[in-house]
Amino acid sequence: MENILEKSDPELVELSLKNKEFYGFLIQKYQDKLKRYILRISGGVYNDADDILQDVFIKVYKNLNDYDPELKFSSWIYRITHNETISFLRKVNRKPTTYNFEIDAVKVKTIEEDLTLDQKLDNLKVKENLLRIISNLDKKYQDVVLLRYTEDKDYQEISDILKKPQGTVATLLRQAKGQLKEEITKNRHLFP
Amino acid sequence: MPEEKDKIKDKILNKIENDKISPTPRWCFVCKNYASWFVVILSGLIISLSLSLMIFLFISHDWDVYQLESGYLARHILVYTPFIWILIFLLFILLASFWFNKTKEGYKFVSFKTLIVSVLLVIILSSAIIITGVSSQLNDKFRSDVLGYKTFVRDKCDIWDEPEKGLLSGKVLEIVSDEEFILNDFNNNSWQVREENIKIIPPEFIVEKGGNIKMIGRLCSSCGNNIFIVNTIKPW
Repeated sequence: MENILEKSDPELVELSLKNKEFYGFLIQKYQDKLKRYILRISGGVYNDADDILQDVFIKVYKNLNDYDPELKFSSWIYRITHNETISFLRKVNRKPTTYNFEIDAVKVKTIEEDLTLDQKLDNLKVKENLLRIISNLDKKYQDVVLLRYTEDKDYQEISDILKKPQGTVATLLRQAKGQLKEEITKNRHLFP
Repeated sequence: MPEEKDKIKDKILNKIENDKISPTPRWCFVCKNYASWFVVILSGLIISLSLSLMIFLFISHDWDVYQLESGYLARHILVYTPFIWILIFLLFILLASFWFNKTKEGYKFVSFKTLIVSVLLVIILSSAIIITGVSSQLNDKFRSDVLGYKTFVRDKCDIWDEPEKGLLSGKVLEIVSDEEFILNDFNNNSWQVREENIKIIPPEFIVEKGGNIKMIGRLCSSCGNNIFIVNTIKPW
């Protein structure tokens, strides 16, 4: 138990299958990230987020034997979270028109690198403008943009979370980046 | 905050404990995944089979006799298009792609290359089914054993089963003379066939006992029942 924090996720899965108390470590490790993710993709269902989170962890526990160690555990648990949240929203007939991007969560550095911009996007006003542009992107790009620029996932992880081929993820991101860059260039005065 | 985290963790672990929730056994997931692949493969086979039957029906069809049969090509195409096989073909494409996405690994292989490989496999398999004669045998089997099949899938037999329009086919039962033979049509009716200004296509074709043939001619009602005057004979 003393070196439990050094255990990898697949090891914790194996231990949880033998003793459910170990599952508590996985819950603790992921609950904050997943709750934030639920809030982001649901457009902020603050009252229901805990219920969705609980359903996610119960479902993950039931499906522990389905976890494939070739996949990152985080990708797998994000996939379940994504699907549970979408099915919850469908159940309550509440489909968000846009995702909830928080200003502090957006990985500005990754955007700067991905878009090879010559300007910095690091001041608050610029970040707010950037956020507005991201929020106005086509809905079809928002899943990948959110995972890439707030959850900091790479292409492989996004592909595994959304169960979309890497090529599709790359295409969606390329098109989203194109839109982003076009908007930033068009509104150069907002991005000094 | 750590207390809050523990609260959520404890709540979930308590629910697992109280509701006696346990992880689903691994074999269930393995079986589910195999079942999904099984449906995909089975669908692939049915897609190939339906495609082979569509191609078989198309290439074995005598498109040039539409003038004798109905007179209108568009009507003829409409009547003889095997819509049921087209429907099955499309339905199983949808089913295969649905279950392919349901497999654990499927999404990794969704690409243009996979699509091309799948299409090639279906074409190869369909060709094999046609070349080995399986599609023809299956069509015959469906015609004889499946109720209503003939209503939905009309084939060459139906074109050549219209003696009143001058089209008749079947198996030669007996050669009576140089100009007369007995024929059993595919509905098992016996016909007395008399030749008149006969044209055999191809000319080297010989009408023999036991051979299947198709004929153009006319009914001779005044001569008696089931008497057909033939002017063109072709091998089946």
